[in-house]
Formats: sequence, structure tokens, C-alpha cells
Amino acid sequence: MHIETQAELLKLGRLLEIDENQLAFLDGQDLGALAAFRSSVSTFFYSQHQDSYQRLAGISKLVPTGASAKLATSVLGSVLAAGIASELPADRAIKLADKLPDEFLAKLCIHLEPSQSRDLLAAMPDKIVSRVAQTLLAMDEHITLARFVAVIKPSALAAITATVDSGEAMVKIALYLEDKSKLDILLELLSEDQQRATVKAATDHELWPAVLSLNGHINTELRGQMGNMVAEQGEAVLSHLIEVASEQRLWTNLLQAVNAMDNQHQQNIVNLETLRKTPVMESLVSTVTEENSWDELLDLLPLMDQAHLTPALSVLTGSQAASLAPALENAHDSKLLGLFGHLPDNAIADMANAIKANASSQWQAFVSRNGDAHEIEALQAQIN
Amino acid sequence: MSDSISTLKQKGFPADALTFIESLPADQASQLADAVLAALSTKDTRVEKAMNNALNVVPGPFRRPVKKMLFG
Repeated sequence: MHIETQAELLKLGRLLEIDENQLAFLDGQDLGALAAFRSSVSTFFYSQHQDSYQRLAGISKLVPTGASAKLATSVLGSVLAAGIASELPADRAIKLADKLPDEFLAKLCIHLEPSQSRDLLAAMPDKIVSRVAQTLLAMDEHITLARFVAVIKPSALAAITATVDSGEAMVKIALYLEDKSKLDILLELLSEDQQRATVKAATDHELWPAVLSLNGHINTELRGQMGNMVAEQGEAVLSHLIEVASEQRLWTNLLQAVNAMDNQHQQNIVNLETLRKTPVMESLVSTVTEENSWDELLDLLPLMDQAHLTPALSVLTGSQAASLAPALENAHDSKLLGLFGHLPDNAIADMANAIKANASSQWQAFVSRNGDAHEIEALQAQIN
Repeated sequence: MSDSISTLKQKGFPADALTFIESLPADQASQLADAVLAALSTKDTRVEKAMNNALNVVPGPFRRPVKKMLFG
């Protein structure tokens, strides 16, 4: 199951108070549709009890905040207190929060309905948010912390991130972010040591699928920065990373990361022994075809040495030759010219035969656009 | 249509969420609707219990007006 689907089902399972494995039948559903469904159900649940929350909030307003806090912890419990907090004016809720024990407040935050608590969390003072965040971190409540990231003030977010020293927590919070466009902001707040901790956590806690998947959401500069840190991990880690990309079909994410790395790191990765394995290369080519990420792959093929390029071309002209048609249709011409211009002499005949058998019309169209390109002279001569 | 889906409709379950459930194969739709209803029932019980607990700690003379505020 894709790591982001796992994360989504975990969130839905929490809402429905069941183990996420009981929702495994939803694997394959559109992620956006699943998230929208969860959001609707969460709002529906809240609306079913909103009247009760409003009545209890009305009573809470009649007694001193100290007494309200006592009532909340001793009688109501964190679930109901979360509903009531959302119905209180923000200033009253903040005064109440200041009188609640950190652990109770943290549990209350777990049960806040996102659509109803956005304004309250945004108004909450940094010192309270930081206290609660530390407690949530100690409780491994990464889903709740991820919800915080989206709504708390930038100053509070900076205060929290400065104190997080667990790479595992950082990766999981990032994975559970509802709005992945916040990922850049979050990563930029991390020190270099913290960023390195996330890379180390990926190895130590088997979080490479999450890291690879998240890589697809960050900007090119951060991708390069993080990519270089990954590339420094050594051959064993990088080989494992390739196996994860192959198993989880996260090739496009990996290719994007490699393309953003420094050239020396790129050369090291594309020439790893693991990439010479036929099943790995077949998985790479089939995923690239499926996700139309040819441009990402074609930039890297010319960096392969002969020992790696030969098996790659063998897959491309053999078991995956059908992928040549979509490649010729969808890849950028200049990148295809880079590949064809880099073909070893002994691979030209195989490529010509594969094109004739699988992508004849696409090749004609390609030639009509690039007929004068010297990179395809030898190949064109063989095809004719 | 399963009983659970009908019940959700009667309870005013959001149309977009209902559409999602109904887009699933029948057995999965029924399973998901059952899970939503079970969760709702758990949450109903929890809220009702907490409301009664809140009422129980109210001193005797105030209990009647508070009860009216809580339960209408």
C-alpha cells in the first residue's frame, strides 16, 4: 500500500475509532477523495453534538475559569472538552487552556474538530502551543501535531520546530500534513542537523517510503539539499533506497531527488550495482511509462557507465520495448536526443529493431521534428 | 441500498460523503457505512454520559435549571 494511502487510512481509522487495517479495502481509492470523505465525516460527527457542546459552553461561561477547568478534567473528559472549547469565545478558551494540565490539554487537542478549531489554534499564545506540542511529541501524536502546523502562528511553529530533535517525529509529522504545500515552510525551519536527523531516521525507522513520497511535494532547492544529504549515506543505504523505490513504485520521486542532487552524487547513484538488476530496471521503466516521468529518467541515463547502460538499454529494447512509443510521444525531444546520441554502437541495432516493432509511427513523427539532428543519424540509417 | 446507508441518509449525512460511499462496491459501501454508524453511536454514548456526569456534580438546588440548560 502506498505510504500516503496508509497515512490517510490511519487518520480515517482514528476518526472512526477502528484499526486502520479494517479499512484496507479502501486501498486504491483516490487520496484526495479519501481526505475529502474524512473531512466531511468529521464535520458531520461534530454537527451531531454541536448543540450539546454549545449548551455546555453556555454553562462553562457562567462559572470561573478555574472551576470550568476542574469540571473539564474531573467530569467531562478531553473529548467533550474539545467540543466545548470550540464553542467558547477564543479569549475564554485561552484563559481556560492556561489552567488545564498539559497532558489534558494535549489530549483535548487530539479531539479538536479541525474545521471548528482553526481560529482557536491560530489565536493560542505561543507559550501554550509550545507546551502542548512538547506533550504531544512525547505522546507520539504526530497526526495532531501535523494539524497544528497548518494553523498555528509562524512564531509558534518556529518555537516548536526548534525543540524537535527526533528525526522520526519530523518525518511522520510531515507525512501527516493535510496541506503538503506547508512542507517547504516546515523544512526551511529545520536546522541542517535536524534535516540530517530526518535522513538518518529514514534508515533507522524504515521511513524511506515516507521520505521519498514527501520529496515529490518540496521545492527544487530543498529537494537538492535533502537529496545531497541522502546521497552521502553510502552505498548500502542508497541501494536500499532503490529497492524501496522499486517495491513501492516511488521511482518518479526518487528520480526527481537524484536530478536535484550535485552531479557527482548523481553519477554515484545511477551507477549503483542494484540498478543493473533486470527486475529493478523493469520496475523503473514501467513506472516511468505509467507516470510519464520520462524527462526525469532521460536526464540520468547518459550518466550511466557502460556496465549500467547496457542492461538498462537491454530492458528498454527488450521486455519494456512497448514503452518506447509513449516515450517518443511524451518525452521532451532534446532529452530523447540526449539518449539516442549517447547510444553505444553495439546498441543501435537493438534500439532500431525495437522502435520499428513498437513505435514506428511515433518515430516518424519524432524524425519529422528532428530530422536534421546529428544524434539520430546512425539510428535513422538502421531503421531505414 | 444497505440499511446503514439508509440510516446515514436519515441522519443528514453529507451528500458528498454519501456519494463516496455509494461509489464503492456494495459490500465495501456497507462495511464503511457500518463503521461510520458505529463510530457515531460510540460518540453519542460518550457525549450523553459526559452530560449526565456534568449534571450529577451540580449541587441539588441548581440541578433543575442546569438540567434545563443542558437538555432543553
